[in-house]
Amino acid sequence: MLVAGVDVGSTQTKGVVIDDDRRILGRGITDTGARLAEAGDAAFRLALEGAGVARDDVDFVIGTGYGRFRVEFGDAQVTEISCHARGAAHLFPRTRTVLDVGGQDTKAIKVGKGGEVLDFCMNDKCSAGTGRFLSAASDALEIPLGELGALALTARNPVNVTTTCTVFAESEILGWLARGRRTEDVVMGVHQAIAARSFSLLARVGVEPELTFTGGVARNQAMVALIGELTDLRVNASEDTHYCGAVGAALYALDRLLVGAPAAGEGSALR
Amino acid sequence: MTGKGASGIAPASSELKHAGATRREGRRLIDQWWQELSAADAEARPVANVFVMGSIAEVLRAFDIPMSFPEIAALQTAIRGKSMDYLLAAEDQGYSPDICAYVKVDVGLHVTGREHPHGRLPKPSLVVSTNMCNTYIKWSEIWERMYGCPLFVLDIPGWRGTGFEYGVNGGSFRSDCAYVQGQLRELIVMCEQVTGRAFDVDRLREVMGEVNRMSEMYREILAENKNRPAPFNSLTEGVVHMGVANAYRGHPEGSRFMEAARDELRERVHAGIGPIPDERFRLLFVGPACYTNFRRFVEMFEEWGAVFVAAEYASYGGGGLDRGIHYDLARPIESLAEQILLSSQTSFSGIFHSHQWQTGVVRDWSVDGICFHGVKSCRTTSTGLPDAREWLMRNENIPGLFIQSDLVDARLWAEAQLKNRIDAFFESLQGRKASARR
Amino acid sequence: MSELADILERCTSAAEDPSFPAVREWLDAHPGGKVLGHFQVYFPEEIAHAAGMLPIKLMGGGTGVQIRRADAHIAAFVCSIVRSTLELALSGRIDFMSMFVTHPICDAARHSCGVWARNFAGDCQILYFPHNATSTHAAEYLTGEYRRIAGAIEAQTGRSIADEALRESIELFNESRRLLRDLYAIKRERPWLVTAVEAYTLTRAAGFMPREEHTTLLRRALALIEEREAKRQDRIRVVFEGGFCEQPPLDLLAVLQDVCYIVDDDLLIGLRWLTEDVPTSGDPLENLARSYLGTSSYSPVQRDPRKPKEHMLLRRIRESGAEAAIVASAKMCEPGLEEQVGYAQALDEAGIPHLIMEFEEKMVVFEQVRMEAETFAESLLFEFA
Repeated sequence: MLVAGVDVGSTQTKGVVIDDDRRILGRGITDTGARLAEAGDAAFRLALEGAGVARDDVDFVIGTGYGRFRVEFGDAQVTEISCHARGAAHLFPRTRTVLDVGGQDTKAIKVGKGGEVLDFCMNDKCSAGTGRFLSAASDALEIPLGELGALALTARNPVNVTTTCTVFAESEILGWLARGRRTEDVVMGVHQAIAARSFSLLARVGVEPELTFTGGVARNQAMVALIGELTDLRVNASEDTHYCGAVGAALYALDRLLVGAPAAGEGSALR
Repeated sequence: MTGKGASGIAPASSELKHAGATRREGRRLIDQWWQELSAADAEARPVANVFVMGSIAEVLRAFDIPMSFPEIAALQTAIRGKSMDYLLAAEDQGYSPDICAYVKVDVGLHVTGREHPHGRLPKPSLVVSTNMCNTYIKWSEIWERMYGCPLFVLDIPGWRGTGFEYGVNGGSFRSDCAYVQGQLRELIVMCEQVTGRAFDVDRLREVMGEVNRMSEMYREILAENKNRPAPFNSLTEGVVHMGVANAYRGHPEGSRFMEAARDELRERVHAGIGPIPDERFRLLFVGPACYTNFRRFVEMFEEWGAVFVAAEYASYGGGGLDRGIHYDLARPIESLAEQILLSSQTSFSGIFHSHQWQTGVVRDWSVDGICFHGVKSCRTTSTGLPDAREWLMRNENIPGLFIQSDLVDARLWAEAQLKNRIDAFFESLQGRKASARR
Repeated sequence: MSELADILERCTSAAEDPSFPAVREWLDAHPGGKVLGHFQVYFPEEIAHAAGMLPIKLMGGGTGVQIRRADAHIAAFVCSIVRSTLELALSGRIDFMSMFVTHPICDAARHSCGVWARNFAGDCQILYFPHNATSTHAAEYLTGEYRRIAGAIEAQTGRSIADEALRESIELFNESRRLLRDLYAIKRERPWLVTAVEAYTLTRAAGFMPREEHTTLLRRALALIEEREAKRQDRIRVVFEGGFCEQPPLDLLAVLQDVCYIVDDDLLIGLRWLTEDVPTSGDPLENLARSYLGTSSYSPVQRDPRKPKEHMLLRRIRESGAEAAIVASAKMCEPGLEEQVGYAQALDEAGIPHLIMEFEEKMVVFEQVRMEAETFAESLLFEFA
């Protein structure tokens, strides 16, 4: 029995195929772009290729993420909040708190022993303190997104980035550079600002160990280190945490097949 | 699944004696109210601008001064999809995007000729404000500048912090009352000056007697929602009750409306009918409504089988009628001062520390979770919501959803983000119900 | 270092360091001493002082305090000062404080008492100042409200407030306000002697150290300022309006003082709210209440029909001999932003040039503000020949 989860995020779309032993057989990732349906399809195709199976071999597909209703080949939808919680608890079974920093929003989730959502909080409507904030810094400084974390870790005297607005981030960054501050100190300032916002969301749900960091920004070493410092906890993160939403979606798909009516399966979204 | 859906197969609404009475009569009364306001304006009779939290309708109605509620006028423009026209006209005058959008819609109405979708918005001859929302005072000062009309700020000492004793036995009650009562007498003098009429205490008694009746009915209406399924949605039908509660406070038509609305609800309870066929979640709504997308907002909850069985809005938006007003007609002004004080300290400024009230409603109305809806426009109702949510979650294990949009500023509506949060909340509520069953 | 520089450094440290060094010194010298923190705008500090408490101003954290916890408790769209003041409490920076008092100046400040009550171990109170200042019952009501707060303070200190002690405190604070008036007289008459940042720092320190010490420092500073030899420069004279609650960062004042003389302002107006000496004979609480209502300044957050705000601003401009105004508002400040429109209309009608601006206590980039302020000043200074 094979199932899949497809997570259409604001920046990237991820897909995974798992078997009934909950093993990840294949992963796929692609930039989301403007065409959500195509991105979902592409990520699913890549995951199928990775698993070496055909589309028809997969018995149930759940879409998640902002574009979840555009996963037209899918059988049902679940929000990425439930999916990240579920995925994180699968990857790190002692997870009680999940921080998901994505492209346009950040979520702090308190989870139960089985990965069920007990409480969650998300950032305000604007994208302050999300991955978008890092993208703005990357654009303003002309440094690739993937290199920002490593650069930040070399900072000695980080600046205090105070703007709460992504739109103003660029002018503040340029303002600091104009005053002669070192690039790495400015980059670290940006990281610290995001970490502080994330921490405030975590505070809303209450941080309990273990803390698992998911989403695209979890691959950024500086962010992982900062969240660890602020919470005084060791932070779970791995390459697969980027696929966490898709993994969670696939697990819900498996429940659907095995149990028929999983925890998140009574909702209108699954009818 | 609980199989409650079966109760949806109730007698067709045509078989119910009172079916549709609330909606029909509510609409008629609101239309009639607008006609009165527009007629007063055309005939250059004095009209008072007042607010829902402390309209002091008792005094104004005793002088037969028609009351215009700018908050209600503003929300009506949003329901008609017109709020942005007015709001942007005010921003052109220099009003910031970051202030109360009700204020801006109102300013926009005044600077563009006072043509409201429901009729002609009157020019105020008198403004009666309270301090229950500080923005009321700033708002009133705008009319004061615009029209040079007299402004009376009835200053009501509100919630004072932890350990303060409310109610008639509280340490400050007598001195607070003396202050409010003294001001009411000053307000009466001002009304005499504006209308050229002498104050008639018997007329005041009559009006206060109607408020007593209305308050009793209003409380019965809210209590009907303790039934399962709840007979009405506090956010949709509840807003109709609230509109009449404000516009017809102290008017016999208002009390009659409440009685008819209550009877319609009792009939529904008897027939086992709720606003949606299958009530699966019972929610308390905290914060004000979103009027730019009024229907869609509620639909996102109804899609999950959720009904707002109670709303904090019905308390402060209903002028405090929910807490029970019992005027002593033998000593009207004194009693009016006492009740204004009590409703202000509990209904209005009680919202600053309302987790205890919320806990009680969750218990008495069998609530599954709370939707906290913060709006950018209103710091009065929204500032501390995240804290209350967290407190209730941590101390009472009451699940809460926190979302934000606005009353009438359509730019602050982000449907995908709202839906995401709402869906996730219900997924987690289902998880809770499932584990409770296991 | 000169003596004046020493005084300024002492004041800067007391007023700007979020670890409250001068308060901690007082606590070290007064074991078991109690501290009362009050939010903007005005608080009758005399009452706390007479009970032996140290009253301090709580007015945000500026750029020195990063918001980590407060955002979890307060909705978005609320001004910076309400957040950062709460952050002071949640981060443990003011654990020495046993009583918090806020005022119904705006809806966010009033709400914050509820939030504090759920999160702060000390006593939380709202002191309800009258918004119907012209009611014949207002003075009696406010006197009663002061009596209630005095009772709460007595419960903290376990010591009752004698009228005589209160009169002595009133004397001290009268003297403090007199000195602040002297400082502002210098700003008006010889603004080249003291910069806006210096004057502000000397004023602000009053909120964070024992008033006895502050009065001594300020008295000496005024004498030293009078002795200064400074050249009068060709700068425009402006009134800065908009500092009644959230405070602009020092760097913003520094930018402005480069381009103009700020000859009057409403920065920390609460410390200067009472414009005349409070009488010391009679019932001291009633005297304080009557002074609050009768001989006081103005702000967007007090309703008093005798003091229409735009008329008061025009008067401030006239009396200080200013030729222009900077009408600022803190971001997300409902009353400040609303008043800005009324101010601008009145200034337009009076033909007084003005610059509208928004600021935030946490702002760190000033290039744009500098550009605006310089251009504004130049437009007034230079006329084409």
